[in-house]
Amino acid sequence: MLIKLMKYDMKSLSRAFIPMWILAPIVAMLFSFSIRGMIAWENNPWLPGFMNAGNGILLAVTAVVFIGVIVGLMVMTILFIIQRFWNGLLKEEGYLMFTLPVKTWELIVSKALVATLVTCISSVVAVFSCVVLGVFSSGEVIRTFAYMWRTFLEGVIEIDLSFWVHLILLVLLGITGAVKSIYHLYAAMSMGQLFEGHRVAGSCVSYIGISIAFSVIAGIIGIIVSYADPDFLYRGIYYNGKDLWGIFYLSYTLFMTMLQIVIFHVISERILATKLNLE
Amino acid sequence: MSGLLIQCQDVWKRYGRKEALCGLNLRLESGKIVGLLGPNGSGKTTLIKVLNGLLQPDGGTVLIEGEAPGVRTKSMVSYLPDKPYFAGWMRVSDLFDLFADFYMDFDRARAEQMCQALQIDTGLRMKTLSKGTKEKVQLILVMSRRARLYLLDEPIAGVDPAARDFILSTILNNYNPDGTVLISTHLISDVERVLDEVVFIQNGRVVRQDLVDDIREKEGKSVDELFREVFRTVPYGGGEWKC
Amino acid sequence: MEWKLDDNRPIWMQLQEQLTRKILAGWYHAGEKLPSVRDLAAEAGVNPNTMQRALVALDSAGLTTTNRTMGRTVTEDSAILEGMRASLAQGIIRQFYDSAAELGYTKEQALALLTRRDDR
Repeated sequence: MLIKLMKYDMKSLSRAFIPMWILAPIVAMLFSFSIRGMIAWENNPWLPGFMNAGNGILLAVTAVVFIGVIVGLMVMTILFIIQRFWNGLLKEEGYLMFTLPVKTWELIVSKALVATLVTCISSVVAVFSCVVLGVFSSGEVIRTFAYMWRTFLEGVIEIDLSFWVHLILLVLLGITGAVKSIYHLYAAMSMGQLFEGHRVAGSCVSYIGISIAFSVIAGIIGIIVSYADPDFLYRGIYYNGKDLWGIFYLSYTLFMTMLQIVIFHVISERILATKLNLE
Repeated sequence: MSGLLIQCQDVWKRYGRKEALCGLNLRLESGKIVGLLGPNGSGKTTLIKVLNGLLQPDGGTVLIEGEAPGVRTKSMVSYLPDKPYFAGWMRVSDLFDLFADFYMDFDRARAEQMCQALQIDTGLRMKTLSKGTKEKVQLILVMSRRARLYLLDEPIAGVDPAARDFILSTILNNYNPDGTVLISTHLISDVERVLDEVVFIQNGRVVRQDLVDDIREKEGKSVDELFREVFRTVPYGGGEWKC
Repeated sequence: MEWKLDDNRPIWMQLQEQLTRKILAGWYHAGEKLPSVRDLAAEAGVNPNTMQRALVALDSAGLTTTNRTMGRTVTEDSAILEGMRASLAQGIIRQFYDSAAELGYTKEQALALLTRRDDR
């Protein structure tokens, strides 16, 4: 059922996003070529001056387009997340979705999975576009990065189990962070639709309210920990002579993020299952 | 043919401080076409939304084939809302896919035949269709299911007489005779002859439930006339009230 | 033949009367199979259950018979058809006299009026 539900959202997203996902690296490449042109001109002062002016304009245009596409992609992703939930469940389409023989949690999870997928792909595309920009604009950039990376690996960290654990935890944290942000929006919209006649304003207020509530809770936990054990942050956690403080901290953050996802999901599910208010 | 299909007992629903259903009781059997009649604001749409699971009642029991509204009842209830509910980007054929995916009782061939008869191109997107065509597509989807219960919310409100005849004949020609059709409307004279039974609803309560021919026999007048008599006495035509 | 339904009387009775007329007028002849309940209901734009009730009334009047293989057919018993025709005619005649009486004519005067009209 989840797959079937996702199928229709995927159809709607593919029409808008696939062109953007293809466009972003292409624009990055164009931008990098205009940078390359600029560098070439500077290294060859005997080229005619009008080419310099042309290059300058080209550089400015491609830069603006590139930044526009990347920013556009991010804005589109956020709008998509909000719009698919709001229009798809809380407006007219909700009449269809909530009379399908599926459970409310399936509706929410299917939206969340598609939203996560879109967010991940958009992020990867954005990073990939920047890499394209680096690789094509000049060999120097990539050589510098490679050098820095090597030094970083050799000098600071040795690649062992703990390195990979850190890396995996960071990736997981990135993904769960995205899911948490998506669910934060869902919970806010679910609460907002309860405000008869002021549903949009209600959603915004709920969003801010949730943020404040969670920062307060995080603050309280911090205060309790620092009172109970003032040296906690500086002490480190040693096991077999290795400091596991980083792993502990990442795991703790991961756990708290997942806890928030569960809380947001339960809030959304309970409200939509028992207090649905379609206009 | 028959058997108890809908059972509502002392059902309450409030919107804020406004009471929409005030201890409503209703029993309906299978194999009937039933009119749910009442003035605007009497609770018709609320009752339909409680039956299809879009709204949770604040009190009382609602049973469809002995079960509370949920996934199982949704799979046998076919619901026509009072406004279009489809995403504009979807093609008519996408909607057929969607119904075929989720409703076991959806008869796709029948839906396609009906579209063909009306010369509706199933490759078109919903947003390109006229309002009338959209409503027809929606009715075709809803009536192409072999459902146990059809809930049709104001299917003939605001349409011209030709469209009204099309809608009524589509319902008559396609409903599952073992199931029940519940049609909410305030335009009674138009639907009277297709109904077996009528339920009068007022201020969130059922005030009368009778067979159409029994009413005509006993009262010597049409249901439409009776309706006008019953609801003429209502001050303000049902706005706010106390239960 | 159009289906005409008025507002004040039970629909099934009106359907029964109109079906009876259709049979006696030869629209459906003796021994002919009637369309299905659903088709007849759709044609008249009425509820199938109401049409069913009218058809059952035809059965019990003996105008139609239902058997499992053939479905519902018009009776081939001409005595029943003739009897029904006669009783329908009686009804029309009675109605004529009643209406004439309302206008102040006696039975004889009404009959005289009727024959004079025939002569013209």
